[in-house]
Amino acid sequence: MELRARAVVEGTLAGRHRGRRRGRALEFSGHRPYSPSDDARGIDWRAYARTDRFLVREAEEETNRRVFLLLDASASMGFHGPGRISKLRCGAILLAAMAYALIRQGEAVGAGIFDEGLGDILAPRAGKGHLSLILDLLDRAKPAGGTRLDEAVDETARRLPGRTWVILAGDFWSGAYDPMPALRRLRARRHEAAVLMPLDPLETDLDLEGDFHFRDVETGEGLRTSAGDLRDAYRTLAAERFDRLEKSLAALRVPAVRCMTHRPLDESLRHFLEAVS
Amino acid sequence: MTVSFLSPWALAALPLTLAPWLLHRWSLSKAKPYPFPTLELLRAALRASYASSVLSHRVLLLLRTLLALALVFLASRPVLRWGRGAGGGGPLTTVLLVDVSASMGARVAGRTRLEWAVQEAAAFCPTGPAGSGAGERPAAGSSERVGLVAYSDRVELALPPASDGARVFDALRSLSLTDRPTRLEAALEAAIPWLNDRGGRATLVFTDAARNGWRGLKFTPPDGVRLAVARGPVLESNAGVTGVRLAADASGGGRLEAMGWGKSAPGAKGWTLSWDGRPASQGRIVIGLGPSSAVLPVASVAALARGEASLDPDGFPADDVFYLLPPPEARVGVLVVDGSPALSPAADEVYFLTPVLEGLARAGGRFKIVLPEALAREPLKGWNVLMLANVGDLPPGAAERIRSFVEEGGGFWATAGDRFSPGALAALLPVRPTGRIADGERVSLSPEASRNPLGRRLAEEGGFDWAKIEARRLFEAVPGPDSTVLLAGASGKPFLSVGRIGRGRTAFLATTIDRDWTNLPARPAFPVLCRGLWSFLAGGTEETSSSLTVDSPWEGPLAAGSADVLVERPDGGKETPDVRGGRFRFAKTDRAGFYTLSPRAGGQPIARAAVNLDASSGESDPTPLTASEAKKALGVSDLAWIESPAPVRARFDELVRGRPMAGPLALFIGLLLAGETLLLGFLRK
Repeated sequence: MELRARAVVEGTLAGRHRGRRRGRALEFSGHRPYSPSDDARGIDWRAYARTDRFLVREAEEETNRRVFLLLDASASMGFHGPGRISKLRCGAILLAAMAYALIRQGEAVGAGIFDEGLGDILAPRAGKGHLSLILDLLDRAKPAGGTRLDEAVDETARRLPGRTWVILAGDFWSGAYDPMPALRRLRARRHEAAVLMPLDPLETDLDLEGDFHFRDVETGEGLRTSAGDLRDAYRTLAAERFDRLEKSLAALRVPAVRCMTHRPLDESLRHFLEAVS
Repeated sequence: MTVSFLSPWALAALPLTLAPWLLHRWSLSKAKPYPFPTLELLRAALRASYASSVLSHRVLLLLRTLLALALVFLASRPVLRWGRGAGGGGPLTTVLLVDVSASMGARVAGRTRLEWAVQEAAAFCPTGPAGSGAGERPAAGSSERVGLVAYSDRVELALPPASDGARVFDALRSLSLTDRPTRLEAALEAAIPWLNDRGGRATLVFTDAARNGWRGLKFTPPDGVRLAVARGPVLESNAGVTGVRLAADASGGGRLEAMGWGKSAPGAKGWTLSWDGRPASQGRIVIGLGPSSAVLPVASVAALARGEASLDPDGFPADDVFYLLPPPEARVGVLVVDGSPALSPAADEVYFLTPVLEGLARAGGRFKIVLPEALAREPLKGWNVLMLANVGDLPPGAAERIRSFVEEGGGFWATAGDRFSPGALAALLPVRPTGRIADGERVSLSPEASRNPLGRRLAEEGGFDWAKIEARRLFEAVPGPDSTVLLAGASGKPFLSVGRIGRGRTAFLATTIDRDWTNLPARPAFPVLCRGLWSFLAGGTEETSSSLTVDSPWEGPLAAGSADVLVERPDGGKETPDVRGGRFRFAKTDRAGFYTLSPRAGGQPIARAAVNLDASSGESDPTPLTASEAKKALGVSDLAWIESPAPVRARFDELVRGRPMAGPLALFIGLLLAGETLLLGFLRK
């Protein structure tokens, strides 16, 4: 898991403009004179214009920032199309990558797994040792049970001691339980939130031919039908659903990114970072 | 209005109409299990696409079910019926045309085709209130009318349509087979005028549909009359003797050749040639499948009286026997005057004639050859024929004796040659010699030969190429007013002429009977010509037609004082022939076999005749007509065709009184297929 997380992070950051992609973890602390060993791109040209001296901006690592990674491990997250990784694996790797990057920056990172309720959690801490615990927790996640995202979010909000950035990875197939009130309450407690939504293309396109006996992996209910007959209607409904969900999250100022399991994970992570920056 | 089915057994396939639904259910039951994150969207999509998807599937299922149903109905050949009459409403007038030709005597599965026809036709006799089925005598009185025509190549029996079913029933029971060929046209001509009334009208032909009776039909079906044909049981194979020929050979003997024809099941058939009830020869022969002919046996014969060639009987035994009655030439006595004797036998005038005379003797006849000078002392009484071969001058008084001999019924034959001089004989000849000797030419049967019994016999003998006979020299003559030229040269000059003087007959051959002037004596036809001519000149029964086909009149001369005669038929019945002007005529030769003319008071038979089926009529051909051929022959497109063993009455009712629904059903199936294709295209889009 650590290797996958690191590969995703490095793939995401490779070739990126470092100056513009530092993120929240870096704070401006002052200028110092330019030395030949410095990267020329670090020169503050505005300061040069004001002072006629080559000055380099210096940044200072932010401290006391907490991040909590919350992974949906309900049964629906175990779904995957032919030759693709499951949504759970996709979400776990992306969260692991975030943990790797954040802890490398010195952030305190915690993690939790939920399905029908909040399961194992690790309180936010910094340090490489803690990273191992987080990665291990994410790696052990197995898809099972139904989804109670609302309860998981409420429980998480109660347990987090101060202002925390909660990164939630889940498919939001929550049945009758609307997660929005819980997210609203999370935001009311001044926590920040962002959503990674791992999705398999079959969930959005229903690209199947023939008669199938579809079985709901969480409720066990079945439906016999011809996939071809439903495809058009399904695609329309799926697009509407995810658009509506993203709008609702946006209204709570919760950035959300769909991570398609057939796309490269670093690309998904990059989209996520762009969305939250 | 009711629907009935011509092939109701096909309705057993009705459960197949459930096949589309079962396949649909089976397809769903075999749906691949597929774990899915949630059914939330699938259910919503199903609700949203219900109209276009689920309904389309159900319509598709309905179309396929209807398609299966229509196919089953099509296979069961439904017929829509309304009312009781053809064309709708009213009682039906039906004329039954029952074939009683010889071929209806073919026996299939233990009964003849005529028995089949009678049994099936009896079901058409209207029944009275009490009702009765086929085979029982129905009561009279019904609104339905039935007529009957029994036919062969002529109408044998005709009953106009009437509601008296008992009358038709009795007539059917009285029908018997004939040995005659078939001609449907005769029956149609009789039946159609009865069907000019209004209302439902139909004709139903009961036949074996032997092709011969359907050729060259000139028939215009009247409007409103439904035509139906019920074809009897099909004879799978048949082989028969179609001809027997007695051929004389150059030595004066004879050969008997029988010809067979047939389409026979594989395997050998036994043949027998019998003569006067005694087998002359027998063996086995294979007649191949398909129309074929084979010369069966060849048997040497000497004294011939009457005989039969027969094959092992098969389904159509009527053509397995051929009756033969050669001319009664055996008792002819011939006195020959050799006008040109020679020390070398080969140079003698009668060198070639002698073997023929010896053959005559072996067959029971007798002959004597004398020189011209012996004629004066040779009594003519006791001889049937006097023959002068290249004779010049006759002894005194000989001409008068000969004339007297001929006038009293004797035969006289003169042949020409370098010594021939008509002289006093000119008045006895059927021609008037001009005295000139012409260059020869090819010989052929003259057109008028067919008017003479001998000419007919020579023509019927067959196998002789008369054109190969060449007369290098001819004694020119002009035909007399009462003469008949049987053989003539290419320019029409008489070669062989016959005539009559008093009660006798005369003949003149305008060339020699040795090879000086002609090649005739060396040709196979020579013995036949001689023996035929002797019989003819003897004035016996030769002139009676001894070999006839069924219904050909048998006629011939009768000796004076023998006018009271009887004809015994093959079935043993005795009937009186017409006797007029010293001749008899018997027309009722309606059965194959031997007919014998005898004095009513008893005694030796006067004449015999062998009557055979007309082998050229095609009655022996087992190949039945098909429905399409029948339509073509009748010139109609709408023909109700019923084949044995289908029950004729039931099928007739369905076909004639109703309308087959095959056409509309086929159209419906086409529409269903088009609908299904369109719907499938829509669903797959």
